[in-house]
Amino acid sequence: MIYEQKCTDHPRDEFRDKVLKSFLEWKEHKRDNQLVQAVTGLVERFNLTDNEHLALYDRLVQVHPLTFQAALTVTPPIFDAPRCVSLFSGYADITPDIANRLGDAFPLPNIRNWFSVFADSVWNKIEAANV
Amino acid sequence: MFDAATAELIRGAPALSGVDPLVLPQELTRVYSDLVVLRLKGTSAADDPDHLPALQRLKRIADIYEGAVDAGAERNARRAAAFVAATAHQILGQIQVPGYESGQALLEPDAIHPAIAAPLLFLIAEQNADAREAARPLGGVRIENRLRSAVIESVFDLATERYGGNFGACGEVTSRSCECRRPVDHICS
Repeated sequence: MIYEQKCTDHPRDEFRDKVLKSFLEWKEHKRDNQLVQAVTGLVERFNLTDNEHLALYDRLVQVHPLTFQAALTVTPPIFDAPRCVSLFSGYADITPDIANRLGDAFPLPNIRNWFSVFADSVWNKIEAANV
Repeated sequence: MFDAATAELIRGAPALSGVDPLVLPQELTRVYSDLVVLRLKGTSAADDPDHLPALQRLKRIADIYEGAVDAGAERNARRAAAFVAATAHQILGQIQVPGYESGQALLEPDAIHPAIAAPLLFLIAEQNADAREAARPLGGVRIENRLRSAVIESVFDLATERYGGNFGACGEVTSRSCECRRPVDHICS
């Protein structure tokens, strides 16, 4: 699965100009070397045989079983279905099968608050460990 | 395009779906000769719809074999896969198909550019002369991130055998890399 997660004030611009562009590059095999190198790292701990490695990369590049997930911050916090449809317009051009394209919308104020709480928590851990 | 020993090496590459290693030498030769003809005609192969499928296929073969090499296939199959991947990268690099354009990052945390991969793959294939040739575009390349720049420079030195037994060139890279290091006191203060 290819993820793009964006915290932004302009979700539609971000989705149209950056996320879709990036997904298209993955879909058109332009980033297959990144795909293979990322998977090489992910499967390292499974101790695959040479044949299993080869079959994995063969399927990964030739069958290209990619799914996409885009997550963007949105305002207002109550973001209804028509707004979502408008936000993710153009997504079907990446892959026609709806099961292979996922979209999430997170209320921006909640995410900002989460960042703040998370940052405080990390900072507290650092201070407690006396790093 | 390939002498008998090299063609034999290529035929030792592991089979892929839709790819018969026994005819890979001919396939690579055909793609290369087509590109030469197109170049003589002044046509860009990357823009030629008749040649695009062959180029895309070649890129997929290169990416798969590069992954197999990275995962550590057995020695002979690894050498063969490395040679095919490097040769394909070199051919595709000459025509700047997508993924090979100059101006792309050479070294990133998530991937290395084919221009860096090709000389390393030739070294794995134990084809030092080809590694030297493939490394030529890296000569004099410097990027803003000094540590990554040092890695690129080291790949160039390694592939072109610039270390020359006394590690002089590698020593220069190391010296420059050391400039990036900061004293521990500075970090902890």
